[in-house]
Parts: sequence; structure tokens; C-alpha cells
Amino acid sequence: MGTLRDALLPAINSIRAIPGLLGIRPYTVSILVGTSTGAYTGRGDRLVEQFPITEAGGQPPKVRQLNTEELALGNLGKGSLRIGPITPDFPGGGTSIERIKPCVAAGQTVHVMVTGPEYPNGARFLIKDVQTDHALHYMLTAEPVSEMGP
Amino acid sequence: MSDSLAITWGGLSLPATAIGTDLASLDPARDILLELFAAALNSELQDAWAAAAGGIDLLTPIPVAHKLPALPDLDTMRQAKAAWPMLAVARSIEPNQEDEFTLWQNRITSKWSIDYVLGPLEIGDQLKLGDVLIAAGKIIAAVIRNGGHKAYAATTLVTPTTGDPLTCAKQVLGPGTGCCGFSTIGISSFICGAAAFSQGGPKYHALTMTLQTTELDSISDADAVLYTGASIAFGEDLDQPEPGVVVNLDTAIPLPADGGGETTP
Repeated sequence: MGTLRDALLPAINSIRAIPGLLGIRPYTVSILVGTSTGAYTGRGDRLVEQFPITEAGGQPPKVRQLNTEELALGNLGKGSLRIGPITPDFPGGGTSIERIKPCVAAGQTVHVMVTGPEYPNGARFLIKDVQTDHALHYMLTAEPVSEMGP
Repeated sequence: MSDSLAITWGGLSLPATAIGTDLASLDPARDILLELFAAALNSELQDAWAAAAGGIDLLTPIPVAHKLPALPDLDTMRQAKAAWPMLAVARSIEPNQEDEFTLWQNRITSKWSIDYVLGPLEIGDQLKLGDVLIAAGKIIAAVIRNGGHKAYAATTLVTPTTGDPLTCAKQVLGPGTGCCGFSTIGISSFICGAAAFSQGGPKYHALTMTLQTTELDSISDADAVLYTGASIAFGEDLDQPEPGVVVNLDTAIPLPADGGGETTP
């Protein structure tokens, strides 16, 4: 017999897709896993695999730019983002924690790719923090790989 | 002759040629040091490390399981997965110094950061394995004093008295093909103990060593004009319609047929 959480996750996953259906989720989010063919990270050819993070129906999650107070309190860099709530995985949908923080081999790289109005060609972020202490959602905090312009 | 400066400076040789898909060949010393120290640590510590570290979570049975040719700062560690123990070699964030070494050679003095990180260890494993850090410091110091390590590169010499072959470590820290190109190298300091990639973050047990190197520049291209001397004659050139000052330079290559002198009115 399933738990209340098991029963709620598919419904929540569908509800979290509604803003995307209405067109008010302008940013898409993916996890990039990079593999270098050379002896070290960044050497030789670079192969990049992309794993999108979505809610039901492939709709994007909420992406929010942090305000100055949140940046200061979180010791975060300018341009940091909070992504989520992301619905945890359940039979038939959701996003597993392994998808957000993939278990990669030594030397492989992991980034968050965010594409949207401010980053039309996509921008790479590093994973600063993943909150997994809620039963019904994950939250991902991402920091720009390099300094963002004003 | 190209428009290049046609010089070498440490391991850098100009003009730079296209090698592979990255620019690591512009500073080959870093990769050479990384591979040299990793080979030495693995060679000297392999058996002892494998016996002691087997079965400990997160640690591999190899003394250097992961090599990083960069500073292991927080941003780097958040983007690239590491295995433990990890050896990282890179030029330090401290400023390089450039000065005149002789009248014709300039010198760059650099600091290097060598980090040997065991990983996050609980107290039992820390006391069990922590002494490897001071041993690693001594091994790296000995490799520098030796100029190389046979596990990285070896060369065969002939014993003068007997004629027998003698296998020695190839000297890779000074000038030469496949070498670092350092003029001098020495250890400034090293420290062992707990370290963290971020303030308040997990403690990693590590050796951090600072090296200081110097690199000299020199002319590398055979096409470059080497002045063997100069004679300068001042006076009026009466052959010219408008007399001026004649300057002649004696060089190592033949002067052009027109005399090669420059006349300035």
C-alpha cells in the first residue's frame, strides 16, 4: 500500500506543470555532464550529455533570481538562481536526486544549463546546494560559473 | 623568418605551434610536475598505501588516484568530480615576478602550489593514514633534489669504469625536450593537516607545498640576427648628395649588397 506521499507526487507534478502550460515559466533547466577525452578534465575533445529537468508534460520548473539579501545571507555570487520546487521521482515521472546530482566518474564535470530571456544561448551554473529535506520537492541553488555582467 | 619574437622562456617556445585541442603545451611544466610527482608517490608508496587504505570508504588503493592540473579551489571542486587521494599542481595565485637576470636574459620567478589531498576522513582513518602526508612531502622534496624519478622517465648511462649500463632518472626539471625548463626550483614551505575548500566546510586532510621556480628567456630561432659586435661611425658621407650621419652594424649574417648601413640626415 502506498503512502500519502506516493499518492500526492503525481498530482503535484501535474500541478507544477500548469505555469509552464500557461507560458509563465520562461527558463528551461538541464543538467550537463561533461567528459573529456584527454588525460585531464578539459583536455582533448569534450563530450557533453544534457539531461533536462522538467515537471509533467516536459514543462520547465520555476527559476527565480535571488535578491541581494538572499545573496548576502547565502554567501552566493551575483546572478545566483534558485530552481524549484522540483518534484521528486515517482513511478511514471518526477526527477530523481541522481538526475540533479549525477554520480559521475572522476574528472567528469557537472553543470546546470539555464536557457531563457536573460541567457538566450544558455548559461552554465555550478550546483551550490541541493535541498532534499522536503518530502514533496527538491530545491536547487545554482551559482554562475563566471561573473555575470550588471 | 616569421614575425615571432623567436624566444624560449622556460618551457614556452615562440612561435607556438598548434598541438592538440588545448593550450596546455604553452606551459608544459605544470603537467610534467604533476605526472612526475604522481609517478613518484605511486611508486614509493603503492604497497604501503594499498595495505593500509584498502576498504576505507571514498579512498582508492592507489596513493594518487586523481590528478588535477589546476588549483583545487571551491569552484573547481564543485564543477569537476574528484577521486581520493588527489594530487593537484598549478602555479600559485601569488604574483609572478619578472626582472633582469643578466644584460641579455630576463627571469620570471613563480610560486607553485602542490596539494596532495587524502579526502574527508573520520578520526580513526585520519590517525591510520595521516602520516602519509609528511612522507609525501619528503618524497616530493627528494624528487626535486634528484631532478626526476625513474618511475616517470628513465635514461640509460654507461658506467665509465666498467662500461656497464646504468639506469638513472631522467633529469626533467631543467631545459630540454619534454622538460620543465626551469632555471632553479626549490621548496619554499609545506604544511600538513586539515584543510577545507570553503569556510566551515568538511575537513579534508592534505599536504600543501609551495615551490618557487625561475625561468630564463633566450633566443630560440636560428633565423634570429645575432650581433657579434657593432662599429658605429659618425660623420658626413660625402658620397651622398645630402651629407648625413652613417651608422654601420657588424652582424653575424652577411650584410645586404647595398652595404646595410642606415643613413640618417
